[in-house]
Amino acid sequence: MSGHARPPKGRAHPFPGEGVAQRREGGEPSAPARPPEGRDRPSLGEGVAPRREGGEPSAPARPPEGRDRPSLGEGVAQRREGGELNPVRPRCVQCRVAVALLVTGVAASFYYLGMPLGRMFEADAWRAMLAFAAGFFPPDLSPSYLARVGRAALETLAISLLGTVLAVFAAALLALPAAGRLGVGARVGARMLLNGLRSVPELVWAALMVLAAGIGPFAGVLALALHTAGVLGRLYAEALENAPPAPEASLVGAGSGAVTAFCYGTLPLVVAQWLAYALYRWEMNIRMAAILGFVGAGGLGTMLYYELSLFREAQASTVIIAMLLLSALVDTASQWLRADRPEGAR
Amino acid sequence: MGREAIAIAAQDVAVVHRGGRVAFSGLNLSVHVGERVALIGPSGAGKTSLLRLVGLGIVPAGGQLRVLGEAPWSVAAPTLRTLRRRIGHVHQSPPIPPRQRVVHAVLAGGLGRWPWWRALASLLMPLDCNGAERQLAKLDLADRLFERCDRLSGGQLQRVALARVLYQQPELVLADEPVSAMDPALADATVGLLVAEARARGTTLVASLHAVDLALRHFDRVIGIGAGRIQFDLPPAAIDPAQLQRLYAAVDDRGVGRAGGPPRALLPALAVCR
Repeated sequence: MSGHARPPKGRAHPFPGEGVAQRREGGEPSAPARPPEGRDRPSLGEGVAPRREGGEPSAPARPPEGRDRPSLGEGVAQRREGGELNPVRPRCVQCRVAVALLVTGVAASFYYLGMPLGRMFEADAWRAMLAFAAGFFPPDLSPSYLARVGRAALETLAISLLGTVLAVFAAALLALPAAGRLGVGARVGARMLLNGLRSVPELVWAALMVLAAGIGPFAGVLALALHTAGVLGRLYAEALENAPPAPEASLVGAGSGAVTAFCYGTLPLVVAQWLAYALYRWEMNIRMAAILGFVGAGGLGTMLYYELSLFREAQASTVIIAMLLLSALVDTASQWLRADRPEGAR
Repeated sequence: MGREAIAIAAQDVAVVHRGGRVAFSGLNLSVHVGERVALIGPSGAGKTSLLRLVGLGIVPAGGQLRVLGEAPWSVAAPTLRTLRRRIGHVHQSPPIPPRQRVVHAVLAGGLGRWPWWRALASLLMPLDCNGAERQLAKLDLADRLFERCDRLSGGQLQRVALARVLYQQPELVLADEPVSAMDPALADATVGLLVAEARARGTTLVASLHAVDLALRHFDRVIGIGAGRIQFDLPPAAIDPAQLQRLYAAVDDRGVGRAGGPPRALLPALAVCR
């Protein structure tokens, strides 16, 4: 936007994309020795290097400082002189357009949302922010409150565990038709069901389940199970489709039934991956379970929502710390579990 | 001898691969029950196709095929499954999941005769460890019973695949280069065991082998396959070196060695890569 209004001096300090076009205008006419490579779009190196050689005499008043600032083009030209056989391809035009669009978009968003960016730098605002943050200290560490938080944390853990386990079973059952094992029709149907489950976020499922099953942990379990089944089902189906068919086919060829051949031939190929996906989703679900409480699905989230509504910052702070601890615990446990896999596999 | 005494009967059978390449046409072959037959011939000559045809892995494009007294492609599904149970197939590269334990890989040979609930229960807790161990012991692998299959060498994995087929106790064993990843001494001992097992149980054995000396030493009937047809079908004593040379020179008919000819040693690799 402002680039168009820039004075000509701005050329030495090019706005990406725009600068190239301008330099090309100046450079091309004064490039007599340009090889007839037959390219309709001159590369950056080609467009820039001739300008520096042939273009400078036509602009004698130009301050030499422009040289000290290594422009993009200069680096390219040097590399070409360095004896590289293939000329370096230009930085893509799309990148420049994308950066320009991003900058424009950010500026437009600020304007559209009417965000007073300037206020962020006022001392007043900082004081208010500090005062707000200070309200959270010290956290309420009284034993009775800690016990309540502990119970809520256990509830969150239980919600995430049950939700994930239910999801794993549903995903395994849906992955079989989704991998095309029961025909094309079942495959399309299962995929559509998985897409539907997956594309509704946990929070929306939770809001729906609170309406359907009432406020409480059960709604949270159902919400996590529904969304996670969609995600895991898709991943499980892909693992199944990528598994080599020979082991199962050889068992069927030796007279084994379909179910047993699957369990002996294909399941061992995918089970480690399935387990890793399940652990990863469980880790995410513990965090998500802490948030689901905001729409009434029990656990730490419900507690945090309650305390914040009453402006009891000290208590809210305890709950937030409990959430952080739970997350750290999950991270450590999951890391340990995963690190243990190859070791135990040996 | 009655009809039951013929294990494999092929009359004018044609095998066409997906894509239209003809592996066999006009194949005639008859193998009696209890016979031990070796298939030799250059790579890509059709040994694997023949074994897969008999192992009910390929539907013939024409002709008549009977295996163990049944016409496999004109019977009902349950009969076909029962027939498959009676055929043990050792594949060229053992189709065993890498993370599977050896014990399960061997017990998988019993899936054809076990009810499904027993098979699933055995996955949780191996139900016939002794049976698996007995077969592995014959192959000198009893100490690897609970090893994961991806911890085994290629030759060990091939022996696990053999133990699975021994555990299956089929009436017809088809082995596709079962010792290709073993050193000569071990390969010799393993083929010897396979033949001795077949003799002791009266089962029919058809094995394809790259090592001609193993075929000549252990089997009482050697079939040379080249260029998609049976070149000779003789007892080992009646095979002379000239026949063998002609068999492996038949590679030229496939066009691989026509123009000047690559070094002899390259031929198998070239044929595999086609």
